[in-house]
Amino acid sequence: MIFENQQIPVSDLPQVEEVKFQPLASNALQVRYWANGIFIALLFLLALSVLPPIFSNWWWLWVLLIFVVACVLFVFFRWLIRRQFEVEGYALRQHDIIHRHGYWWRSQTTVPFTRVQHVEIAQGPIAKRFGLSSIRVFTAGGSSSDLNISGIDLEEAHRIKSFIAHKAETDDGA
Amino acid sequence: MEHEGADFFRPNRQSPVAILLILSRLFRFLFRQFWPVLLVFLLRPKPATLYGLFWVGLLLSIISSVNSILAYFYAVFYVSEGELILEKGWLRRTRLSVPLDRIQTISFQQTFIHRLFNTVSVEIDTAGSKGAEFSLHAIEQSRAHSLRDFLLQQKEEESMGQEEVQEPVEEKVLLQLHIFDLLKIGVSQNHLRTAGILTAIGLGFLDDLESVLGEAAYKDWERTVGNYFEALWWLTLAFVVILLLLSFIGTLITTAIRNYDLRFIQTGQGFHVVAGLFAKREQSASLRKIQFIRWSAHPIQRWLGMFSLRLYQAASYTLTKQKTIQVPGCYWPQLEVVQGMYFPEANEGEWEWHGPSPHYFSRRFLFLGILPAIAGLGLGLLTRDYQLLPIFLIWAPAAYFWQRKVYRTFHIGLHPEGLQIQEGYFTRNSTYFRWKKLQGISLKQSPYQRKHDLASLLLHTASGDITLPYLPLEKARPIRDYGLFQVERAADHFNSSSIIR
Repeated sequence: MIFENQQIPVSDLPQVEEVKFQPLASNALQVRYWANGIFIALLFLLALSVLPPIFSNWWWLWVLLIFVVACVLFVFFRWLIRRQFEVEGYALRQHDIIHRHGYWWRSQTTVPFTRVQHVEIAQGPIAKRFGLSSIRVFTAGGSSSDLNISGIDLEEAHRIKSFIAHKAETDDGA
Repeated sequence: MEHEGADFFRPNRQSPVAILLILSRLFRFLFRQFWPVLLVFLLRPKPATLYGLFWVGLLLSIISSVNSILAYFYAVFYVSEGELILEKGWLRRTRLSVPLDRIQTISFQQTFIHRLFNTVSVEIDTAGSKGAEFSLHAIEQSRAHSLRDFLLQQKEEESMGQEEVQEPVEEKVLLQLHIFDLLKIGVSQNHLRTAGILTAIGLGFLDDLESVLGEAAYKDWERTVGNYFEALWWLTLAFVVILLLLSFIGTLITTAIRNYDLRFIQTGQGFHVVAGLFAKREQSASLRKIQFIRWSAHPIQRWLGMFSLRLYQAASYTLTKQKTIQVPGCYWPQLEVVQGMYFPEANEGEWEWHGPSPHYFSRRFLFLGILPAIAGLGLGLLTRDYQLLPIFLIWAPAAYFWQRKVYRTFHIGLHPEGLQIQEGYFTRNSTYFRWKKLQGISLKQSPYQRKHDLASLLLHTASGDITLPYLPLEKARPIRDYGLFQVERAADHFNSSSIIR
């Protein structure tokens, strides 16, 4: 009587597809835009300090070229970030948490609460200004199965954290 | 009774052999770093700058020796309030504590030096938490065994409340390798790998030689060889033959040493492997820690009727590799026992078989066959180097044949309790996995897969991922949902299931 192995029609199982995904906080997009801008700006400065001095004769051409490349990269990543943001989302179900992300390469990772080792809330410098944070869910499965959802309101993150912690305890049956 | 005078509640030191081990490791490291310098030093004891380096090396080793002796005296371990604690360091003191109920495995290792002094090194592994591995360089064998017994006993008291799990530990030797088996295993090992290592060492040696002898001398030597251009072919051929011969003998010897007197033992709650001539390794896997099992056989092994078995155990990130227990040279009866213990339901109930979509084949053929062939042909035509062209011409059809076979042999079997994967053409792999070992599951789609309604499933376990590639979406989704459902169900029976073994 330890386990009863009744037949379960697969179509009766709870399906991930029926879940409504919660999008990230709307200003998370701003955070990512800023991060992108800063990153490209740094890259621009680095290229500016390295390349033109080498080609001293045509330095203005190089400055122009670097500028154009930086602009193109900036616009491209801004576009990509926007698309990624639209796809990304998370969902809490009764027994697990799902994270969906990626624009070209889509990925949907589900972690049952019983497998959660601990939950961490982190806040980067830019995110802090917007009152956002990221939540990380660690499992014994190593980095590939750990969830990292960034761009959630700090309060919301704390709520999720305590929800998962509570669930992880009660679901264990301990 | 097992304590034999050792009281682990009080601070304990390691065996003094630890000093020797820390030192020997250090010197080996230094030697590897500085051997070209030493060589030059011995060959032509002239250049003054090298003296400087030599003195630096000497100074470094003296400082490190003092450091390792101090490290020994300042390192203590003890058990306190349900935690195993290791304190170490004399300048910067660190304290590492491991809750006893988090301890996953306790393993002993013996290198040659350990053997001389009848000591072992101890590694204690905890799953999940990052970087909390606990290791002792050297401790007397009897003390190590009583430490293990003590920890396990304490651990049980910590996690009391559950009824006695203590089954009488019945040990049964499943497999003992004899000389003839060793020979068979040695023959079936991967000789190419040894050849690769030998080549790498050889090239590394040449590289070092170049920097040591100075570029001029090396170039001169190269030219001398280059002059006998016609002889070069023969030289290469002879070199390859010698290399292969050396690799063959090399692997034969190393496997024989590594697996000398290997015993694969079935204990009450898992398995135990003991092997080795100079460095004795002792690994154990408790059934509850085994995440999945896999055995493989390449053509030579199939011909000899042998398999190589791997038990993937739960371990934290860094130790994953070491915690995988490998038993080369298993035969069917042993595999049956292991499978029966890990997955007793495998022979009951029905297996539902699936395979990846034909796109799996076409994509792999594209990436491993067509694209490399085009690149190779293009490069050959551009550089007008026609020597390698035939290889790239055969490449595509060969890849077609090969990938076709790989695709056709890929089978995924689903069972209420878990799944199995049969795959591989040259090397055939069988993997068994139980749903209740699932840590998380990812459904991934590349743009191509999205276009064709396909997805790959990644089953995350505490010992790495298992991939189910290129499944039709309408299959991948229910498999994921079913796996998650089973985890949830296993959680409901968590307490009871840990009692019935």
